[in-house]
Amino acid sequence: MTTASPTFAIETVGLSKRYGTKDAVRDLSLRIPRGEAFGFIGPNGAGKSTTIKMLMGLARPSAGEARVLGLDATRDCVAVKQCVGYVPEMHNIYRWMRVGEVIAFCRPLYEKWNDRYCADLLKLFELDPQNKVKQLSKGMVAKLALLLAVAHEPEVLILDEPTSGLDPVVREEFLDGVLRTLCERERTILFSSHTLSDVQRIADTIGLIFEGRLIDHCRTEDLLNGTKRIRAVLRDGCVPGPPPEGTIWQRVQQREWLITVRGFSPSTLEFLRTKYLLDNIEVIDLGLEDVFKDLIKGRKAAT
Amino acid sequence: MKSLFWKDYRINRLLLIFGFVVCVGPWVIAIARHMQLNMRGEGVWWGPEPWVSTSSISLVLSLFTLAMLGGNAIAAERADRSAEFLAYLPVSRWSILAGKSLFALTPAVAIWMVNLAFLFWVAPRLAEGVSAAEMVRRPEVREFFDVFGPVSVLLFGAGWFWSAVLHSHGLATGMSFFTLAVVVFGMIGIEYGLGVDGFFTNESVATVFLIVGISGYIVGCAYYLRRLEP
Repeated sequence: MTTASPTFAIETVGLSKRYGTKDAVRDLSLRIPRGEAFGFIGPNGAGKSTTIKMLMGLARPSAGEARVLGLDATRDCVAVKQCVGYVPEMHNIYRWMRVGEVIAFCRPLYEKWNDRYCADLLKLFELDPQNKVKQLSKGMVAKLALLLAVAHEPEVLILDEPTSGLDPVVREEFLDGVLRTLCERERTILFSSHTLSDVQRIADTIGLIFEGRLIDHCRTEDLLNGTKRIRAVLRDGCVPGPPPEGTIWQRVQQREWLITVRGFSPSTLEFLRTKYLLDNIEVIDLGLEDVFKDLIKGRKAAT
Repeated sequence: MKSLFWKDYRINRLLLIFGFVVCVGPWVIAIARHMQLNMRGEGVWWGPEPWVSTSSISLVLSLFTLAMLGGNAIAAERADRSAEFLAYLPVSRWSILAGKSLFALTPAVAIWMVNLAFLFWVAPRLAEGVSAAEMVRRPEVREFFDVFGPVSVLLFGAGWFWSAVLHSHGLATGMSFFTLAVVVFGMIGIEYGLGVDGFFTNESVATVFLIVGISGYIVGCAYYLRRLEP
């Protein structure tokens, strides 16, 4: 496969998609280096799936361009699909086919197909080739979709809310499968999910999209280490004023002042201590879910 | 391509069985009846008429097959959303379209070939004193081709077009018959409503039907190639 841009597995420049008068994606510029696991998060209707569809050549951009392994996702969509494994939210695999028939149907369509790997995954996922797809549970269909996405050993794996609707046990098994493929072969993964604990577990970097715009793109550990919630208890009569720099969300309830700060440092605490009369101050570590919620709440409050 | 053909065959398997039964069934019944009467020695004279009638029945029934072949071609996979799965796979729209066209057109042509073979090869051997050449020259046979040929093309082409546009193969098949009705009543309206004399003739009907059918197929193909699933 020829690639024009060897550094980035996925690259979008000014990517936009408009449906009628609504902007689904606005001027999205994103670069995901090869070998990176990228978590793509955002509230419902933020533009995640539309972006992914444009990357897969399933939607035409209104402006800008999307490139996968240097290939234009719209113009060279067949070549893109050769080197990308895609697991969508809805697994619309032919329900009348047997598992073995689905594999036999997909196998010749790919230039590379690893039969041994496919057999290993069948065993790992406990999929019986004789079973019809319509007889499989939702979790088993998701596993079959993952098998089909990785058996041709793609360089890029795009997962669009693949665990949505799965029970925790199956979700865990599915993620194990993803992590296994990630560890066995160095792949670029774009993982979109509302289950942020899953994203936190897999993603090296996080991209947060809101109302069609990419509002944050950074390393997962930087985001988690640098984002803290401060719980300050104000002394009687003290009124909260301007929050410290980097505040993404704040809430005052009686004397309790909760502030979520991006780019937290000891100077943040120093600022609060010198500016306000406080009875108590503590720093709380946040998980990705809390960071995400506070970022979105802060954005909504700002707009 | 082979796996696409296999998939299209599996999707259309029931329809192909139905098409085979309604196409060949009338001929099998007619031939069996002819043989039965001959074996009984009842000496019934079967001229060309029963065979032409048999062909009419076979082709009238096959019109449903043709409409369904067109209507099923694209919309069937949209109805159960498997078209979206197909869209994720590294296959060009041209390849998918070629597979679907081949799979819909081949049985459509086969239906006609079967009827032509029975009418001009089997029937003259069973009908007494009628050659294939005489069969071709018979006015009712000519008229029969003038009607059924263009209707077949229209139903298939319209079915194909609606299949490319709609999400339901049942609706696409129904719409192909609706299109036929609209064209017929439209032509009658032009002839009698607008007073255009000589518009609703065999020749003009055949021409309009052929144009609508072929255009439906071409426009349906173009629309399918442009459209992104879902």
